[in-house]
Amino acid sequence: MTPSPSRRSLLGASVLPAALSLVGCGSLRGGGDEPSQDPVTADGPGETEPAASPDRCLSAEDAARRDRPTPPPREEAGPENEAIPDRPLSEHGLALFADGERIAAQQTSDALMLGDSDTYGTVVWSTADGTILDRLDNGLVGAIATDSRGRLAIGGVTTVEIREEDGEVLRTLTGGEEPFGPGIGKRVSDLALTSDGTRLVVLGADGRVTVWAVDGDTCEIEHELAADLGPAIAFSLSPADGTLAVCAEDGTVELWDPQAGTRTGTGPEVPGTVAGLAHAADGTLIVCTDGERAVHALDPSGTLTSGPELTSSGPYRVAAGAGGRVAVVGAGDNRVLLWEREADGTTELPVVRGSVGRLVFSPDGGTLYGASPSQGVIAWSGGDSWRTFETP
Amino acid sequence: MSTDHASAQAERIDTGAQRLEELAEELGATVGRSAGSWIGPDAEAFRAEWSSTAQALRTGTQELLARSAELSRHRDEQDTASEGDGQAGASGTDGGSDTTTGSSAQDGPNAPGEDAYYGEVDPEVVERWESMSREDREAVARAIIEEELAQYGLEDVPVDFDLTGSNGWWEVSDGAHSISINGDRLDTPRLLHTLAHEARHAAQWEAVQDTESGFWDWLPGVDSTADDYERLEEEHGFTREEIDSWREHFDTPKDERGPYLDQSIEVDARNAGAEVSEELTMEDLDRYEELAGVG
Repeated sequence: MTPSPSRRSLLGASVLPAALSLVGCGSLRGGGDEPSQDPVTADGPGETEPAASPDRCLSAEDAARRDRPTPPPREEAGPENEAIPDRPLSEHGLALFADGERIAAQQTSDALMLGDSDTYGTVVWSTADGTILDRLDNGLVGAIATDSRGRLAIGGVTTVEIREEDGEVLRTLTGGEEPFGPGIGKRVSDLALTSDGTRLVVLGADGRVTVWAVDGDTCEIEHELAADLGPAIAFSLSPADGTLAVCAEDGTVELWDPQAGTRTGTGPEVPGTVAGLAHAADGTLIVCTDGERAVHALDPSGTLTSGPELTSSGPYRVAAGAGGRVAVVGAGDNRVLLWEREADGTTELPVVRGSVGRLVFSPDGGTLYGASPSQGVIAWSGGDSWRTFETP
Repeated sequence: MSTDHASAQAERIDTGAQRLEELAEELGATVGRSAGSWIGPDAEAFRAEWSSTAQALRTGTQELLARSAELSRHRDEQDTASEGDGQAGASGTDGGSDTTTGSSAQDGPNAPGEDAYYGEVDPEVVERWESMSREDREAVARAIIEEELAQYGLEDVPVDFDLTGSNGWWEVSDGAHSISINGDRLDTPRLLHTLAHEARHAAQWEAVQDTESGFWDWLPGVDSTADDYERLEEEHGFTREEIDSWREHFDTPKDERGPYLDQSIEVDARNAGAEVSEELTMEDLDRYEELAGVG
């Protein structure tokens, strides 16, 4: 408030000792037992339960009975339920099918909350013309992964689904009831299916990295990786040899064999704090560093190449594509940097309106797809603009 | 202020008056006993001065009792009025959760029970905002928050953009405010609302603190509560009813408050945020960019 000769300042000076001797200091509020030591807050994420990684596999019957989360009644809505208009897509999930002809991303629950949509969760588009092919309406808005057989792994907050190419649910992993809330921040933030399809690696909302055996009738946690590192922020599974690179909150990178559950090495020594990573098809590990902002590439022979400086701060979304292409964007940013490693060239792609999250290259590396919260699925194939897909 | 609150205050004033009277009596007895062991000019002067001090204390005690009676009278009048029109009103009388959602919020598009409204941003501003880099947005957002806080006389409030999940967060701890904004969502112009919304919560808290009843309000030279209410209404347009509804909100345990969207501080902050969102012009944005050193 505007400074004034208020009673507060007066009470704080000459009269205060006398007042203290009578009825206690300062205010006469409520029951007189204020103030509390706890901070006073208004709105914020205080009411939601901490999210847990999936820890069990639902039976087929239970999985079939699972309903997607629904908005709470108005009187129970909290700040986590405040929807934002014109924000159709989650920045967390984007995965291209192996044939390159379809791409999956996550429709947010904002439109549902605002009464502008009847569905939310995973949506599949045609990459040829950007039209929507399928809406799974599964209420999951975390990471997505695909495998060579066309299977999808789809993350929510506490839930991961594994679906066949045709959408049939094969498995549902759960760590508790899947909450509803456009503003719930922590989600399953990375998923990867091993090339043989027998393992699923999950980076849960609590930062734990778990390896699930999902072969045949088996559906159980096989290993927890890098638990000593504390919460992980990202991982990347090498398509070349199956090595899993895990990045912790403090920037530490460790290499793991997810099948055996053993640590096989550490990440490259680079200046700054690693805050994003990806693998190229040949196994080259791309790491992006904050602090000393830059992109680096560690090829399978152990040669480290440093690329361009980054203009934005981390954490970073990183994609590696054919032809040595690397795309990077900072969280919540709209400037995507393209590093062509073979030509050692750098291009700042056209500015995305709003921001762009998860990035993925087409199989030939010629097109970069992005999950933009406000623009939806977008694609850049050269030129000075992004192509936008049908809005879910 | 609720009538329950008024009763509690009156009771405490009575207790204070009684304590003051007891202290005066004890001190008077001590001074009287000193006559047998403390003699001389200084002692005589002290006892003479004590006589006028004792009179001031007696006057003070009477003043306190008069204030208490006045407060009780206002309480009774309010009870009568509430019974008459059948409404609890913003300040409420039952102490239940509904009393935090009264009709005391500032005039604006938001009201308890109505759909939340966050304001429509000028399309030109939207386009500029969406084209900014994250770093520039954060710098401009910081300038907006600081200007909002400054109009309430608040400076040096830490602001960060590290929040995940919800859009914004305000808290005050040991008298120090802090604000956190969800930087990952700052790309949406809807969060322009949030910047003013969180700053408003800080202002609400300060207004409540400024109008806390003070034990020594009756002393000459000390502002009365009424003066503070009047000053805040004049300077910021906060009505007494609004401030008292915010106080009631803060005084109510979290699990006993009414629905989040209908809470008095939220309705008011939404109105403040909507107003800022709707009135933000390109010229304003230019100015904020200049303040932030971007553009």
